Amino acid sequence: MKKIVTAILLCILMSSTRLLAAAAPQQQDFEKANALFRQKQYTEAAGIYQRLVDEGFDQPELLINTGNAWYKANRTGLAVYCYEKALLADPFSKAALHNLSIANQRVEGYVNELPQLFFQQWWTAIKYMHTPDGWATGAIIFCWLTVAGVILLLLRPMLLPTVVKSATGVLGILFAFYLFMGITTYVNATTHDNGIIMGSVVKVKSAPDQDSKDLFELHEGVKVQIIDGTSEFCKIELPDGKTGWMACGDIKKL
Amino acid sequence: MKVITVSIKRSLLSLLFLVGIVSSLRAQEFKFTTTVSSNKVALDEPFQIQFMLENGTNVTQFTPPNFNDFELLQGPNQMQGTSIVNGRRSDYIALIYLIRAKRVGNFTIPAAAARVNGDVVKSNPVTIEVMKGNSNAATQQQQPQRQQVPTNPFAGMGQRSAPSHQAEEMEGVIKNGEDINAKLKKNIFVKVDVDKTSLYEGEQLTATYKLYTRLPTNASVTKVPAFKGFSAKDIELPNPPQASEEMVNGIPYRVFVIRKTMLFPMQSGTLELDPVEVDNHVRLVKLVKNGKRRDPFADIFNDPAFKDAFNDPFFDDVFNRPEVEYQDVPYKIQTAPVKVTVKPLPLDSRPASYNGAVGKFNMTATVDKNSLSTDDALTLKVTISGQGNVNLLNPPKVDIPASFDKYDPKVSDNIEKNSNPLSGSRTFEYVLMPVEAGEQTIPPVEFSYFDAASKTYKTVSSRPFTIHVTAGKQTKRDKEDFSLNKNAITNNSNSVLNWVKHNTFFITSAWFYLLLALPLLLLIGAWLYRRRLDYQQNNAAFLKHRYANKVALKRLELAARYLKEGKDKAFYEETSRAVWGYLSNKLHVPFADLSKQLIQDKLAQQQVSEQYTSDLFDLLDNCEMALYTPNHNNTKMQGTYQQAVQVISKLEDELTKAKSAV
Repeated sequence: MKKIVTAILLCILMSSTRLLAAAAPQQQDFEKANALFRQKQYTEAAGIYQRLVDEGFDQPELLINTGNAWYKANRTGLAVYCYEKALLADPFSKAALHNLSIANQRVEGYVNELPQLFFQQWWTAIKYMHTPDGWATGAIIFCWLTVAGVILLLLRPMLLPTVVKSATGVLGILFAFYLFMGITTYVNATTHDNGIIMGSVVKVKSAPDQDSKDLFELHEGVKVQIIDGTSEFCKIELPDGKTGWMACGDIKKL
Repeated sequence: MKVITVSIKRSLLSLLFLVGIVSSLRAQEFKFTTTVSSNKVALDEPFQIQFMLENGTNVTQFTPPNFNDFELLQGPNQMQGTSIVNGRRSDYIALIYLIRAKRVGNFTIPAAAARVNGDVVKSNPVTIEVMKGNSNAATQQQQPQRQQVPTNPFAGMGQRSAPSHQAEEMEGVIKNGEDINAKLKKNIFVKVDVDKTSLYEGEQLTATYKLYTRLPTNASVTKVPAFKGFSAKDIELPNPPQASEEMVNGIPYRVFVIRKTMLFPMQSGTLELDPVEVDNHVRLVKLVKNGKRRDPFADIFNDPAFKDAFNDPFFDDVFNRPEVEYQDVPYKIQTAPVKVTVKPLPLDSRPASYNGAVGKFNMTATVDKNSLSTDDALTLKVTISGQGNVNLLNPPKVDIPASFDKYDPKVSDNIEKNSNPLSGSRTFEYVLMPVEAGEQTIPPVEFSYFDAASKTYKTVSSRPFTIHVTAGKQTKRDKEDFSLNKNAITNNSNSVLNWVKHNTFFITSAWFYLLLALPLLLLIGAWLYRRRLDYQQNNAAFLKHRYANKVALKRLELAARYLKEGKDKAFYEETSRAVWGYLSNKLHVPFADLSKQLIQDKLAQQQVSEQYTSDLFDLLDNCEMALYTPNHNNTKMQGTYQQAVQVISKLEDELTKAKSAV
């Protein structure tokens, strides 16, 4: 018996170490980039960071480091992009907020975004209470609990009917809320209508056409909202309400 | 110029001498003559032409002739004088021009005109024979006092030239049958001297280009070295060049320094010093055996009457020398290239503050004030003095705290002229603007240099400076936030991250829907189960209701049997039970709960008319009364039976009607 237990424990240990070993290459790259950053080889460090980001890792620390490296390498647009992405992953990251504000100082023609109203802040706080997966898991759990309550009511109607009824009602509401939040956060996480201007100076046109009139100019690093678009031209809106058309290639979507 | 005036004096002296003789013979005679220093000249050779007015009174105008074929180099130089020879006085005015022939050939310089006492007088025209250059030894010989006019074509180009020296007459003499080239090779060469051939990057190297000669030569540098890979600084040489004596292989040479340069290698490796090229015009002397004597003045005063006087031996000594011939030979030479090995500076022991200084230095750092307001500015003066590559010093790194605005330093040099090794000082002035009030400390200024002699790095540092800064009137700046990290991005996080990708969502996975669907299935199962239970319960009541009439009629049949048999008690009992049972089943009320009031309510609910209800209750009352009273007759029993059948069938009709209505 004891032998079997030790064997199982060993198996678990080995599998966990294998997991750590599998995670190591990214960590190695990350540390290599950190070392390059310390040696002030910012462009090289940013390249390695960016590769990790492009692989699909969205850890706020990684994104902030990437942003820092781009910032130091004087690529303000990419820096802003990374900080904004870090804020998507964690909207309350102090480092990301601070660095973004500094990077935005370099952005020419930066328009201050209005601060969120109190209910918007609450909404954001609620949205980020759990991860999208957390909300979904919660929905599953509450679904099960609600169903259990209903079944209890059906099969044992005589067992504390009022308590069970109210509890089931509460659980049902929670289930509906979690499901809703799960869907909302999923939609939030997958669809982004914001983008960062990448070209150093981009002309914004009045219509989706190269020959149309120039309305205004945007500089690298400005955050815009994409409200409409064709395959080549995107209609953008600035925080101050200005709209116009520009080539989609100059915008990097978040 | 000096030379010229000297020669003029000399020629004048001889002229005066002459004039004296002439005037002793022809007293107070007016004369206007043109004389040239030489009737035969070389093409590039300048010569004098002199117009002399003797004993002319009231000279008002002088018109020189046209020097069409000649180039006027200088003049006119005017001279005036009086001479008294043997008690006779003569006055003269002389105008002297220095001219040079433009072309080869025979030319006649026309007469000059002058107005004397109102009359125009003319001088004699002069014929000049111009020959090709360099073959004018004979005429030169006739003019021992001829001035040495610099004929170096490079004179205007700022290049150094070693002028000819008459001192090497012995070596400059070519004996018959001697090879000129071999002689030149032996007696003229250029050499580059370097004080070291192996040195460190940035260390000073002195290169000296020298011309060694034993012959009279006119030298000019035609190609100067570029010194690739070096930073060069020339040492100024005395002008005109001073010759020194040097023994090479036991033979004394005159040595002229062409160029002396301090070189600081900028890169390591093997560097080559480019050669220098020198063009020489060597003046060689050829001895001519025939000592033919010529009277220098024979051409001037073509008068046989005086010839005898000049044939006097005294004149021979003064004017005539042994007959020789000069020859100018062009000769081009260049130095052999010199290779220098430059070692890189050691890397391992290099201090952080090192930035390229090699030599021996000292550093002083001073601030001009120790107390100031934020409106004011402060100057931090760092002076680095010593020997080495002073002209290449980089500003030392000064860690100015963030509470000061730093501007780029002002650099001023004070390099000692012609110092070798290069020495002097370089001053860096940093202007600092305090932005924060309070006690500020400027950390010590550090300066490192490489000492090539001891092959080590040395570091000098100043003391730290404490500056007392008071708040100035300008308050605008205070609003700016200079706190740490306010304008700098945060540090990188170096923590170990959980490398999980978040690009898949649980909500989109099949598991989510499976887990969501599973309880719903359970719920449906539970509901179905519940329905089945309910159905089963409901079914029993339905059947009872459905067969209530039949049950009642069966009971009434039993009651009819009792009627026939005359068992009156049993008959009423059975009738009563049949009616109650029918009501119980039909109205879904348990038998035990039945009461007249309940039945009335239920029937009213089913909208059964009052009449049937009262008929029903009459029947029930009859049955109850008959149960507890004796004396029953058959006809009454028969009537009750008929009533019961009637009531039940009527109720049945009425209830089905009500049901269908609902």
